[in-house]
Amino acid sequence: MDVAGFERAAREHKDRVHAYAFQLLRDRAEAQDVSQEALVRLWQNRERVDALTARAWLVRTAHNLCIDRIRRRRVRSEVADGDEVVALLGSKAAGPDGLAAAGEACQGIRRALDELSERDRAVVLLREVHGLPYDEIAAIVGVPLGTLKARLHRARERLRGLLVEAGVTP
Amino acid sequence: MDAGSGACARARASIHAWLDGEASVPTSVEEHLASCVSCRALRDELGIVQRALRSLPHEPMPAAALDEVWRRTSRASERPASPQRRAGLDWRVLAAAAVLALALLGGLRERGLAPAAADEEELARAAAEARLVLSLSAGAIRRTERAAVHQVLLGQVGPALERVPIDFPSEDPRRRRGDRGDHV
Repeated sequence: MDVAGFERAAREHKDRVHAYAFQLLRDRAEAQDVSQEALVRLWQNRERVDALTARAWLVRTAHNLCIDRIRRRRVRSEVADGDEVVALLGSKAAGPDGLAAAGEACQGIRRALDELSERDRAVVLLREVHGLPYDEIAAIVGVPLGTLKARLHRARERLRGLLVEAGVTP
Repeated sequence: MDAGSGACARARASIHAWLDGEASVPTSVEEHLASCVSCRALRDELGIVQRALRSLPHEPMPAAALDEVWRRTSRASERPASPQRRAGLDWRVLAAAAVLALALLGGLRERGLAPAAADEEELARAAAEARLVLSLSAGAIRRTERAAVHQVLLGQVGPALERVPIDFPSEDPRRRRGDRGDHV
């Protein structure tokens, strides 16, 4: 990957890398550090990374940096304010009831995600939130496809249980 | 849902495959869902979980954070040029040393402290060396300038002038007093 290729990849994937790091770490400053570090490492390894695999490479690097940080410290929760979440969802929800329900579900799912182990949380985020294909996620988290699917299915059902317990789902 | 029931286990697997976007729910499973309240609840609630996850906001990377990446990578990109720059500096130091040696020899000769016979040869050699060193250092400086201009044009580094603070001197009351005194 040349200099122009690096710049294209950085601009194309920076937000996904940052969003994933923030969702995993729940800390804006740390998410910023991790996403910057992942991009700088892509620059340092640009001759070995193909533009087509840059996204997987960046997310895997960010994932490993996040896991290292999570292991080093107890995760500090930085939940967005309810109003902020509702505002962000505003364009997708219909009417005040819809906004309230969307905000409640969003906050509920955030809290439920925090209850998952970081391994399960990573798989759920990469698949359900970021919509990455299974083979790419398997390469990022370093597990076989069957293990990955089993982990995702288990995590989904755990989230469902947590939301039912919290009274978020009907 | 009865965990031991084969129909419920098949329905559960089908629901996950459907959520994964891999397959639609088979007719036999649809029939089971119509009659099994717990499997239906599983499908509906997992669907809600999936929709809630997909509606989570994505926090974009702040522009300042990306600027820091450009700064760090452009600084890193200057590293390959550093041997060239080092070479340029070395040539400049050598050129200065050669010119100094030349001047010193000339000075010694003028004062009659250096042997005259050896001076002609020494001076000729030193002058040739100095010319060579100066031409090499001029080439190195030109290459460094071209590389710097190229980096500025690519936006990898900013022109140095942008970083030079321009401070307009504030009026100095003592000077004003002095001015008045001069006039007086």
